[in-house]
Amino acid sequence: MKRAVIIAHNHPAVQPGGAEIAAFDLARTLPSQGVETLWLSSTAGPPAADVLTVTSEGRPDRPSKEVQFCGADYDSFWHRHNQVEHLTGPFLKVIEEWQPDVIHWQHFFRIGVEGMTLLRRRFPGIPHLLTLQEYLPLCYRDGQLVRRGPETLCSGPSPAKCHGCFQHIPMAMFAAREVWIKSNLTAIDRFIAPSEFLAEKYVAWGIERAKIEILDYGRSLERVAPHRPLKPGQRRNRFAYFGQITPYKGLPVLLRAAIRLPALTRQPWTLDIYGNLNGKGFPELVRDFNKLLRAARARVFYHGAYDLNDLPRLIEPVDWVIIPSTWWENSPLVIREAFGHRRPVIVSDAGGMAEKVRHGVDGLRFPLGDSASLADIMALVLEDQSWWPRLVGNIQPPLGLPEYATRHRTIYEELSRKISKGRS
Amino acid sequence: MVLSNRMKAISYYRSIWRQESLAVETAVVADGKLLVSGWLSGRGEDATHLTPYFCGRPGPIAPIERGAARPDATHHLRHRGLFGAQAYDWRAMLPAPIGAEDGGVLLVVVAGRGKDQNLSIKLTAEPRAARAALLRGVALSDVPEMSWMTMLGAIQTDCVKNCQVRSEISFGKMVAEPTASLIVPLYGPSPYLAAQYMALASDPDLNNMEVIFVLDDPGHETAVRRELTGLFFVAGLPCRLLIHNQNGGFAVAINHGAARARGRYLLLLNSDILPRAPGWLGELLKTAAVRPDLGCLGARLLYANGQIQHAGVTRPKSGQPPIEIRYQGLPAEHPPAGRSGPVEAVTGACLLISRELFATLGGLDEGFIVGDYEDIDLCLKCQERGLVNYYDADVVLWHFERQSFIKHELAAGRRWQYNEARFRQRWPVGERG
Repeated sequence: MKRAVIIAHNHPAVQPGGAEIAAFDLARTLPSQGVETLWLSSTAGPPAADVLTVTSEGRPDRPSKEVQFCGADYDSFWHRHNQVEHLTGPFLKVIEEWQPDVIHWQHFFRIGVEGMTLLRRRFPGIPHLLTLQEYLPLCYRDGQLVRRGPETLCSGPSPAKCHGCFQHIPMAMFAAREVWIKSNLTAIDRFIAPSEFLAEKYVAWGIERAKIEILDYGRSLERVAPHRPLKPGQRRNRFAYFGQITPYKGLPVLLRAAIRLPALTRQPWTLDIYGNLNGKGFPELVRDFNKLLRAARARVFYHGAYDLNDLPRLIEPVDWVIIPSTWWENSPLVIREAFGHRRPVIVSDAGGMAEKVRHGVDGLRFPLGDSASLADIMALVLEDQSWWPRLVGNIQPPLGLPEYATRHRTIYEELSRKISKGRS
Repeated sequence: MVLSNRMKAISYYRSIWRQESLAVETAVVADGKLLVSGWLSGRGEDATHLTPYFCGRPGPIAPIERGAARPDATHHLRHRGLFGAQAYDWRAMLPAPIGAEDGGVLLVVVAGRGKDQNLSIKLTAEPRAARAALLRGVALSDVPEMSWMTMLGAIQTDCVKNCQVRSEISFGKMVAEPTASLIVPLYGPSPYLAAQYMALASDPDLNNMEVIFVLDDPGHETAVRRELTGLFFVAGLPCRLLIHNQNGGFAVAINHGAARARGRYLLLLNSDILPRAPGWLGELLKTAAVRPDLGCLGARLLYANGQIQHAGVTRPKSGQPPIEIRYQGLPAEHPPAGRSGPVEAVTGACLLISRELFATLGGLDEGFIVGDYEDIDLCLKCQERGLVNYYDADVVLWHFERQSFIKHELAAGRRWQYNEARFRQRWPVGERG
């Protein structure tokens, strides 16, 4: 196992989402494990200077080679690149020149699912893997599995249900979309799911369970932020939110809980919100967010976007991290970060969050979307200060990056052996 | 002043009345006959007969027959101010003037109780245009008449004769001895082509099969070629693309594909049928292999909403329509639909038949216009020979019915009426065994 290709949908320098960071972390750690790695990411915008094709000789902590592919002309219904010539031309050539022993798709977005079929055919003798990041193959609504209109969680897709969310698209198109994507996914030897919950959703959709490996993302912290020293009389009363602000992240739930909280407890507390308010696509969210923020302004502070590298500094004064997402989530990066810095978390009781946080052991859970219950839990931990040390004591640090990369190498090698055995 | 205005209005209406009383819309030449038709209203009802003039020579006088009401023309007249107007179809059937097969302009003198009226109309002689004109035109009653039927029949024969495979493109190398040949007629750029191709390409059962697409709509050649070229490069399933010089309809497309097929079996497959999982073709072939008396074999087809689209056909003893699709619209899990067994007929949307048998039966009947009943006709021919048509409930496929048909120019009009009447002539209800 000498040479790997990691294909991702974006570069963390362009969009620092959890999936992008995890993918890039893997690509930059594999070389230290003896696997030369080509990082191929697809972006829509103009090429960012930092991500252009570079050969990172003499640059430790980077993938061996980085190439940026243009994914601007992309059909996000079929997950298909509109310029198939781009795939069959430059994209394929870069990979052929690399002569990989393994191809690992971190995502197919902005490249197209048929890319998997193409590479399978061109490289039949090597393992092909796909990490399942969210539910994009199942759900046209940004892969969130949230029903449009009532904004309730969706148990799983069907052409009729999908048509209910997108009434301008005929049911037949959704059935065809599923056939198209599933057919292309047959090119994959092994799927990697960061959570059991996500794997189950895919199994219910029709992916073989035996083909899915559960492996949570790895994360290495350069510096663990120490806990805030308490002065006499001070309490563990500082809450914080970290992450992007999109309609699925549940900020209104959190803000409503904050507005309600003073009625439940007389203890002092604060809530800091760190995150990029993506106002472009969601004007309603911006309006709601600003309105609620004004109502809660005495104790809630919005700080805007942050850089992940600053997180140790930002999390230092924080006691509790809250993740109020209103979709299933997969394996949120913020949970790993919080656990890495040994901060207990309060999360919505659904999907990947419920799986990663043990209620009453290393964190607390509240019913998804229920701001009153969230306020109750916040009041509870403010009143009863014994919760915090108890939860902190049980926190398990996340998988380190070297370990994460080693596990991947093991999977690659095992698959590679299986394939060569199957051929002989 | 007021009176003067009213006089003006009356004279205006009179002029329209005269002008709009009778119009000639089509003049179709086929089968040695000339059919002239249009609409009439008000004073136009005075007209009783007409005389055609072609190249200056008069033809025999023919009576004008009044047909059914014409809502569109009525609306047009009322919109122009003739509030009480009511328009009707008219037509006259004449022997075709010599030389009219090549087209030209026909002059018609309409005569009757009122003043004679001179009208002119371009002759429609090109078969496809003539067919379209006939299908659009005049209905004297709800029952299609013999003269109309025979004229259409003759035109249809001409249309089919003119439809040929213009070019043939091979993608990759086909297997030497395919078990089955899949024949997929395409009409326009199907939104499902990529999904269908990829589903076939990712199914190991397809390794020893041959896939033949027949593009029955040369206008979209560029788009379809580009799509197939890309898909072939990506997924590598060898296939062939036949391109018609003009639209010929379902039966012609299938027959042209079948003529070039080499498989032991033929699988007629619509472009809007998608498999839900791999392995379906193997299942169908397994079923076919154990039934030596097999005529045509069909599968359970579902709409995208999960309801049954097709589970075989029965023929009711009487009444309309002449065939009935079993369990259509019921849930996919409807228990009787889950039982495989003999049926009277299956749909040509997904139909497996041995190539030899298909050739013996002369292929699909090309006399039906665009695509209706030729599949049932094929199945009934099998029955006539003592073979059994079979429904395999274990093979479940999507079928987004009529998606490809709806766009067709002839979908409206009286195509259905013609095809159904033709089917009834072939297979009268009382006479079956």
